[in-house]
Amino acid sequence: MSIIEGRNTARGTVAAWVYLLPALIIISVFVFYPLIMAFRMSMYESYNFYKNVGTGFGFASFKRVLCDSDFHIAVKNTLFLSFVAMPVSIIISLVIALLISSIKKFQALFQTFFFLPYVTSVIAVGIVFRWLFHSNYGLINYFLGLFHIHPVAWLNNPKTTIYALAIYYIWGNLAFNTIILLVGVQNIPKMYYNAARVDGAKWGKIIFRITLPQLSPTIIFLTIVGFIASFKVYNEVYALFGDLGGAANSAYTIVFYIYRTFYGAGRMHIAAAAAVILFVAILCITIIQMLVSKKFVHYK
Amino acid sequence: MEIRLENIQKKFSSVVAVHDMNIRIKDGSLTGLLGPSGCGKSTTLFMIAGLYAPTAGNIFFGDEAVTLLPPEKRGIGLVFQNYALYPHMTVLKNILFPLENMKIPKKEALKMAEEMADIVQIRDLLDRKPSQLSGGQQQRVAIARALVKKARVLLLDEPLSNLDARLRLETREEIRRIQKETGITTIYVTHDQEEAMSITDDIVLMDKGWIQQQDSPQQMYLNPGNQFTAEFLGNPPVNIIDGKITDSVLVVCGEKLCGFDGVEDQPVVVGIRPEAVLIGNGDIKASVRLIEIVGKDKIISLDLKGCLIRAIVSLDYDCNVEELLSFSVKHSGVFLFDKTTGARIKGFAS
Amino acid sequence: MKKMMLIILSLFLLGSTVFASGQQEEPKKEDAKSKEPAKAEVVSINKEISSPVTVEFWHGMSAKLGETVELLADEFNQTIGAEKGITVVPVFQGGYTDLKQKLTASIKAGTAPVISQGYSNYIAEFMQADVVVALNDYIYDSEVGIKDFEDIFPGYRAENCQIDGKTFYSLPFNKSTEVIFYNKTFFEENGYEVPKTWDEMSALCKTIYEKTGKPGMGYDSLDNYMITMIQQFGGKYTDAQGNIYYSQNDAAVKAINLFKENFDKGYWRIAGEDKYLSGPFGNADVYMYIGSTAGASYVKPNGFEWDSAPIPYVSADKKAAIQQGTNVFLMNQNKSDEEVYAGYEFIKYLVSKDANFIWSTNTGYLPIRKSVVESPEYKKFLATTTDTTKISGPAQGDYYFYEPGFFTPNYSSYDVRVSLRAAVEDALLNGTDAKTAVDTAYGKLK
Ligand SMILES: Nc1ncnc2c1ncn2[C@@H]1O[C@H](COP(=O)(O)OP(=O)(O)OP(=O)(O)O)[C@@H](O)[C@H]1O
Ligand SMILES: [Mg+2]
Repeated sequence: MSIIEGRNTARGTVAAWVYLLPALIIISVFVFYPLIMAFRMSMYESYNFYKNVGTGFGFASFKRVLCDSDFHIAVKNTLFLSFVAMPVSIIISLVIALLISSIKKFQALFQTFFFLPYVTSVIAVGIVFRWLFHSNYGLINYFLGLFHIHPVAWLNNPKTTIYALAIYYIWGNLAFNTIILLVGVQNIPKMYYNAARVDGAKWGKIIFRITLPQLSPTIIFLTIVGFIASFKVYNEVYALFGDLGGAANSAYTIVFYIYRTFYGAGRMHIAAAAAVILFVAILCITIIQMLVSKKFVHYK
Repeated sequence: MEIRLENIQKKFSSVVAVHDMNIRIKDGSLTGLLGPSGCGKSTTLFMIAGLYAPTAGNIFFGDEAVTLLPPEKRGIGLVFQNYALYPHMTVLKNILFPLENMKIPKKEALKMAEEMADIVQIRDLLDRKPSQLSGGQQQRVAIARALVKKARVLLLDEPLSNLDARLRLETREEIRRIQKETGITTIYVTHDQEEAMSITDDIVLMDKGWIQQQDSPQQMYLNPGNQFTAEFLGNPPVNIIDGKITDSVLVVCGEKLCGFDGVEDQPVVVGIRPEAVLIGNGDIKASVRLIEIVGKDKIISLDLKGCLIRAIVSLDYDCNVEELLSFSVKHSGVFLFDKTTGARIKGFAS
Repeated sequence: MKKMMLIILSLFLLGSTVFASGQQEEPKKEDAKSKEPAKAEVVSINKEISSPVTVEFWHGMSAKLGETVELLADEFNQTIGAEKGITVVPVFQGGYTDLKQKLTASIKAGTAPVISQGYSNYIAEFMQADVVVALNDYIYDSEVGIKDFEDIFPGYRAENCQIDGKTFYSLPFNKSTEVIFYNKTFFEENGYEVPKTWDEMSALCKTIYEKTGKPGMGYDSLDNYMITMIQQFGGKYTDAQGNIYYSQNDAAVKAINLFKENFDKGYWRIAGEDKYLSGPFGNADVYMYIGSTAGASYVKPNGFEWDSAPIPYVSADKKAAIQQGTNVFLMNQNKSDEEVYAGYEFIKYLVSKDANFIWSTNTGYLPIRKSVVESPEYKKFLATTTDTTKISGPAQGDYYFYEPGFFTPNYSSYDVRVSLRAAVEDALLNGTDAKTAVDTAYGKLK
């Protein structure tokens, strides 16, 4: 009671801090401390990770990262995943969610079926996908062959590895996106559809003017989550290309780059600089997204 | 536009929501579709709207069979139980939506929408979102949206159920006004008998998917066709007591109430309107069990040898509990019903 | 949102104070330290076990290999271990990638195991933490030393003291090399001979391609191809101090061009989507491949017989074959001298003739001792096995070389290897000019 009443008093503030303390301690230890250490590491030209001793304070590590052609590939691929693959995945999920919600029978069955990828291991599915993408034996090329399209060496050609990765990434995200969107679709009160029918709206119009606006908070949620996730893609690269990162490093993502620099090469300060760049990028994009989405999203 | 329902039936898998329904709704009338919750009112309305396809039967608008027409081809406007205003669109966009679908040019549509907004008096709310409106305002927007496309028929599904008591009174007058102003054939669904009685020209009373009676409000009240109708209409409700006819006299709890000519000797269910109990006027004696004041009325419960009978008196009538009063009943306010079917048994005063 | 911004701002603030303080104090500390050579401080060694100790051995050997590791540990625990009061517990940590990751984490946490398997670049990196034990005082000790140390092949000894040419930080364990695996049935049917030089290789692959439409040869590890061919073309790769030499002459460019010419025509192929060529080789999609002897058990020929042979050379005076595989090393992080000594006893056992015989006859790895190769038991084993890499591998023993493992702040031996692989792939798959590809790879490291 005193806290509520004395919100502005010194006593109230102290009490509030006391209540927050355990949470703050945990957050500091597990989030802020590593974060600060990463920032610190990135600011040295050379750094002994095991002793936390660095020499040459400055932006040298950032310069190295920003000049590294592998990092350029990683950034390009990551942006492709977030700006092309992720939206495509949401659009496909949306279509699937709308189809599932429009069928009457076996809805639950389809729902389960589409959720399966979510509970299967990325690595295990990766092995299957490696076969699907295989240039001689893969099903994907078999189907392309049916349409007289030449087989594509998806995983061998540095120009196509990113598409293979994107396809795999899209597939991996369908389950989660579809389920969330399906719940969103099912939560739209039926009366709006009845009203729209009475108002003479055709189905296309109903989808664009009723369903999508009603789903906009869900879509924005998925976009934000998807953006952050797509900036952190690593497992998919590993599953498809092993720890080599694709022909001529063509399937690098930013996190894969960080991982390889950290554990592979053992150059932690460089990895930290890349991680800081990633952190700032995600932060900026999230802030922009939030500002933009306020304009377009309908929250109830 | 006259509306006719012929042998309309609606089944939901195993549930029969509406049984063999035949009604005629007069052109330009405001007809109430009345009944307790779950009796099939919304279902009937949605069949008229074209949102539900009837399992059997036909629907006519004038001479035109509309049974198979989709909602947008029927020329109806529908106001939903919760209004169903599109929450992401402004009031204006909500009203424009049906016009947009009819491909009416923007300018003209805007003019129509503004005219409609004037009729329902929401001109100054056009830029707001539904969530920024009061219940009554939302309701008017819903009516505007329903009527803007020049609907031939206006269907209202419990339009007042979300409003507070006071607003309900105001708004139903408003609906009445708009309906008279536009002259549109209107079906008004409600479970509130008072609401139906006060604004409709005609009432269709339903129970468990069956039509009970169709009549003007006054006729239905004064001349109920069965026990359900008598009980559903009127507040305070009709007194229902077991009785019997012996030698053309109605006997209740061993007390002779009044004469009924033309009715055979039989046990009956007796309905007595509270206002038909005339206190201080007659020779039947009963003691006062309970005195309640409901609004501007005073209701006295009389104990007639174990049977309770409620009577309405004016507020200034003075009496005490346990006091012995004498009364008589007005014959026009006493109805006899068949013990098993509940059908009305008519007789004459003697 | 505002709160979020506030938190982030304060984080930046906090962070900058840390940097500022770091800037002032730490270089001094570093100066003082960096003068001393990074070396573990074993002066006089402990050779006593006062009460029984248990030490962990972290390794990355799965399946049959892991079972053999367990077998060796059991053998040790029941003999030498039982006698001295030492119990060794092998801990499987996943593949090499996982092993490295877990070692890094455990050293950071101060809980490194006493014994681990690892490449020389792991050791170079972990030297930063001052946890790797220099073994000379043990190896050359009059009591507990390795008496027949010279019996271990010189190449392996050189690899394990590469930092200064005399201090041993590790001992050889699971060693392999690269050989040609070829389709013996196909070769006999067509009267082909296994190529001895790269010219013969190119010529034969052309013939095979023209006959079958399939590539004649594939190379599993393009990293190894580059490292090996730089030597064979008369160049030098790097040294153990991190100096890079391959850019100084055209050996790397020649190596890339040799592959590219054959690859472009379809004579040679890479593993690519198949990861390892043992699969396509088994399906007769390629008739030869150069890969690790340790991979012999993955060759599952589909209706033919296979054989192996030493890899080709450019000229007979510059033969070179890479010696691969990991070594074992000791760490003394928060460990007593007794535990470290216990660890030494185990790795001493691992490199012993007995253990190495068990290891090299139960797995695809090769003997590290002359005495094993020359023992009658091993000869008997060779007569019974179908795995001819046990012969073709050691046949290259005279010209083995090792890949130096090192660590510098700007690049490590791992980066050099990876960048060269990327360079070949860039040339083969993107059509980049060999010189440009090599220059790019070199430029990345500077
Ligand atoms: N879509 C449906 N599926 C199955 N049963 C339904 C469906 N819609 C209505 N019913 C059933 O049909 C009967 C009539 O429902 P209806 O909605 O018409 O009642 P109502 O008179 O409008 O009631 P209320 O006053 O509560 O709105 C009810 O028993 C209801 O449970
Ligand atoms: Mg209803």
